[in-house]
Amino acid sequence: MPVSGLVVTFNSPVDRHRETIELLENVPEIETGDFRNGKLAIVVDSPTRQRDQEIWDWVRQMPGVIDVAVAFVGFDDGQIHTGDE
Amino acid sequence: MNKRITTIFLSLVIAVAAIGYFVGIGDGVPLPDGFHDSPLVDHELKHAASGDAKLIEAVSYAEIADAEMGPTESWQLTAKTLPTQTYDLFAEIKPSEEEKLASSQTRSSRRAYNGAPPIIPHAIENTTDAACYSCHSNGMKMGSLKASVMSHQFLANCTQCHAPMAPPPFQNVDARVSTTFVGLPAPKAGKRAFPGAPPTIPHSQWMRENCLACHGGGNGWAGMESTHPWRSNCTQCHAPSASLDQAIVSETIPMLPPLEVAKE
Amino acid sequence: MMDAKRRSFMKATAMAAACSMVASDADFSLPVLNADDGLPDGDGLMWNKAPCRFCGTGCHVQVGVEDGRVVAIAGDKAADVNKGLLCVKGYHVGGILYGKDRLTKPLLRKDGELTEIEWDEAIDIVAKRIMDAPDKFAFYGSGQWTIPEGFAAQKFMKGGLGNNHIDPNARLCMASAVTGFLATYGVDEPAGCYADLDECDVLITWGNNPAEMHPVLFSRVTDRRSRGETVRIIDIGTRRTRTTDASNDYLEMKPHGDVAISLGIMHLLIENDSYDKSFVAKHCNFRGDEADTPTLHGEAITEEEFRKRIAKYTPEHVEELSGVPADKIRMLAELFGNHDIRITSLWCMGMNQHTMGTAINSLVHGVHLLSGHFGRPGDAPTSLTGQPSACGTVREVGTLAHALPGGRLVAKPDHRAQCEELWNVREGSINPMPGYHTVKMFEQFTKPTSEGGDINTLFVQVTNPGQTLPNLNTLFNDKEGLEDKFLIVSEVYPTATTRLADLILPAALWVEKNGMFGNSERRTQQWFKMVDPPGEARDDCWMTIAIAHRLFELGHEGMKNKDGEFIFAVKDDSGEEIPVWEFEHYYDTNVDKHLFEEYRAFTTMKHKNLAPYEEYVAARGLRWPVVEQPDGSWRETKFRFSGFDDPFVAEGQEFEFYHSSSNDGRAQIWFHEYAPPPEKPDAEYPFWLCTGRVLEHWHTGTMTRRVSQLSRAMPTSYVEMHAEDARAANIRQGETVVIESRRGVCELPVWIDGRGRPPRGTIFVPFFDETKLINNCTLEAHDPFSKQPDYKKCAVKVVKKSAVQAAPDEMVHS
Repeated sequence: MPVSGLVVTFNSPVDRHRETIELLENVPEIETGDFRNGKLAIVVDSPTRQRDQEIWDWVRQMPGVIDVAVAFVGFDDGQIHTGDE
Repeated sequence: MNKRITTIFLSLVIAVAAIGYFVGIGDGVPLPDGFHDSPLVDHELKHAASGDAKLIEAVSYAEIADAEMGPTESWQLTAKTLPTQTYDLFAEIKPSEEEKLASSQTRSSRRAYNGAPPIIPHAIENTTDAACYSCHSNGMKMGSLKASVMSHQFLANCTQCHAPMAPPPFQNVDARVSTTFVGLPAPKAGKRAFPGAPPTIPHSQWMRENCLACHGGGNGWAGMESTHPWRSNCTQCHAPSASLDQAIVSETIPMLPPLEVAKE
Repeated sequence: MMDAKRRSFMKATAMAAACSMVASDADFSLPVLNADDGLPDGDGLMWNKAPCRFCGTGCHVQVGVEDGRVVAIAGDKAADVNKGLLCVKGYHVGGILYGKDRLTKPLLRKDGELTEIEWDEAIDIVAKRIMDAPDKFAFYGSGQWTIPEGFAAQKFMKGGLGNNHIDPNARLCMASAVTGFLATYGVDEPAGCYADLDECDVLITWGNNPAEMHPVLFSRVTDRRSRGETVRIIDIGTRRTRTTDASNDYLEMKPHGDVAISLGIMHLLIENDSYDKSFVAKHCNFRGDEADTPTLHGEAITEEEFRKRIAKYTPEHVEELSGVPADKIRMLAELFGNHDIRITSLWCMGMNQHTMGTAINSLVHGVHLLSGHFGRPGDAPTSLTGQPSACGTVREVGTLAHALPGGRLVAKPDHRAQCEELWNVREGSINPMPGYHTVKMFEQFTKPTSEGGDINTLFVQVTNPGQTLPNLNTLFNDKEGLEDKFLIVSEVYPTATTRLADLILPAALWVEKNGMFGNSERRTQQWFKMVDPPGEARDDCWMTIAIAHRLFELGHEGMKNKDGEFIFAVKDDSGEEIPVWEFEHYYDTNVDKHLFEEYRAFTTMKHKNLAPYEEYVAARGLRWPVVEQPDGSWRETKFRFSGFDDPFVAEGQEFEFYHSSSNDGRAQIWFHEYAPPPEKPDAEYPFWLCTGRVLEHWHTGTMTRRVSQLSRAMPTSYVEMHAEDARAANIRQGETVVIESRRGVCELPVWIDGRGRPPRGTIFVPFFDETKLINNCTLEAHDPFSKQPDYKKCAVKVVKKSAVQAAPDEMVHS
């Protein structure tokens, strides 16, 4: 269950990308945070690594997005496995 | 009676002494200094530690003797190997225009103009050259993070040319500037003499001696990779520019005078 | 349960991390790949050479210009100084032209409000104020003046107005280096050049941090290590810096310890009999201070007397004075005693901004002379400069209150006569009394007229005294409210100085005008105007000429030469005068070239010969003396006073100091007694305060802080503090504290284990930030000979801001 804090960079100020941000906000795993100029902070809390990767790739494909950078990654796969056993 | 007074008096003395002792040791205890705090010693995490197989809960000095300090549940006899990417020199590479555009945009966002040394997109702390080289000499990838390869020879004093992000204590300081400077953009592609001809090198080769730093070798920029990384002599086919390289500056190409052909 | 709590905590942490990256990251400066919306596309790109605008290293850059704008910068591979490399400031130098708040219109303060006026009115106002009281006018200039700008200002003041109140900010920067050279060699500026850095086996940095301040020169040395050569770097300083990181030995000294260290080395060279006897016997004299009133000239002493005076500076005594262990003093003396190695010393502000600045400069020259580590490539005492033309404009053109061009002095009748002749002005035009030096000039300007403040109009060009003067409250801020004092500032951006200006003149910057600079190694450099200045910004040199012409029109006699013509008259080929005082005609000719050719005639007396202007157009700078060869070519000089290279050394001589102050071709080895600093930490003010610079910003930051890449890397000034000192005062990383001295206060965030690491009891503050003026705290005590103030040491206390707010009464200061 990875948790990651990401910085999404748009090609122009964030407020010109309302539609994209609404799309992001509609995804239950994504929380949006501060933005300034062309950068938006988001947190992705997804059940599996695969889903995390999917969201990551999806965000990168969004219109106006030119870069997605990692600010924080929570590695706690180990704990989940123990919990299951 | 006397005895009782003595007892009361003595108990009072003892009580005062005890309180004094605790007040005394309480007073001099240093406050948290904030220098070495890290998220890992945060209270919240401490609570979480009990449920985490990777963490050992701290115990008081008195309990040390009895506490189990052995390996945690997730301890393994042999270290897990980090997944390393194998680089296949001969894998087919199909750079797409979209990837190239995305890469160009990220590249440009880290430079004031084409040809400027890129900024360092992360904070650094008392970083020596050796610390920079450990990731950037051969490049490396970890998860989604990528350390780019140095495109030039080893040079001392990395921060002489590469501006870092703000130092950690000042990361929240507003450093925006209002400027009308517009830098030279990166070229989209080298020019070709005719369709199918090898493109010329559209940038200076100065400080970009290592072509594979950007154009291949497993650490290149997506969309800008060479489709033929096994060929190692790049300038055999791709012509550099004398003027961009500040090599020989000449307004016109010097030539012998044209043939004198007698007119009828 | 636990897991949910932990996850929410992790999410909060993740969000905080992401948000902080968003907050710390400035906007993109660069629109990407938009060739179709009128932005530069590289097709019409033109490259041209210019020296970098910033420090005294004098790197050459290639400036890429497209559609009338600077769009790119490259290191100039043809330049011998930097060989294609630059530093982070140099790579971003193009951005300094394009801050959104460029000044574009003359502004006059009327009833406290700044209002836009026309240039004609502005020139009128200045000229009339000068006309009303020519001797109450002062001109404050800069080591960033181009050579022609400085020469025009010099001629206008000394030749035209007969007023010597002209001084540059370089007084605060390298005046002690000048007096050190004069006292030692009888003539200013280094004998060696940057080629010494390629040859030295040992590099000693004396209170100097070239890894940040002269990075191109420093990496020229450290890159030799990457190539497999061995260079031993010895860092003598009062705090650990990036230079320390690269050094083999770090000798931490107490403030003023450098004086003791150099005396200690000389003592041991004599004691161990390891000094260079033949060099000293052939080429040196000994000199000491006069007993009653010491002067720069000093008096001759015998070698015996020198030995006697220096005898007490044993390694143990030096350890006591400097804090550097006796063994390390012996190590230094052993290195200097070894004639098989080459030793280069580097210094800059550490030795110059020093109340014993002249003394310590002379002493370090003395160490090199006594040991014979002089004049061979790699053996050099090398003083670096902080401004691009501190050497070219200030020291060579002589824009100082006591000097005339070409190493001449206003006090000498023959020097005045020569200048009057070369300028073709009336005999007796030049005033024999030296004018006010910087500190005195500002004292007289900020003092009310009724109390004897006899400067009432001050013209500031190309510098920012409202941020750089020491003890700002007294020397600058006191101007406020003085109705009859008039401050004129020529600037490119609003600064700490324009805050109090009565008239602001918008100036052209760097490649918006023609120019010439002179760097630290005697190299004179030239560039052409490449882009137009914004709005109505105009050249500083034009301002001086326009004001002079307005005075000429008003009938000021000094603005006419002996033939009754305007002193800055420029004629075209047909003999017609070109009206260069009208800006639309200023570029009808190359005024720089006319002024430079006039100036060249001044340079031969002190053998600082310059070549014709055209030679500099073709070259990436030339090091003087530049002498014409029989074949008509011009040859520069790398090693001055050395027979193998310097054309002015007599035939057959190995060395000759041909401007020796003792007139015998010899240099002077000085003895100066150690003296303690003027202010020391005590119980009330327990910390040493040292001020300085950082790699990313240049001087007062007015240019570099408008470049996003540089501003983002170092967004604010700060105070470096030792972790133990911070712990003792319960001060945390990033917390804002108040630095307080006897003279003023400054609030700054704390950086523990920061860029530099001062020892306990010392703090360091860079001065680039105009919102945090550390010069409110510094001391105006100055060197007796050079009049240069000491910015490197004074006593302060560090108070938690919360404590200050709780007890506001304590903060009241005079």
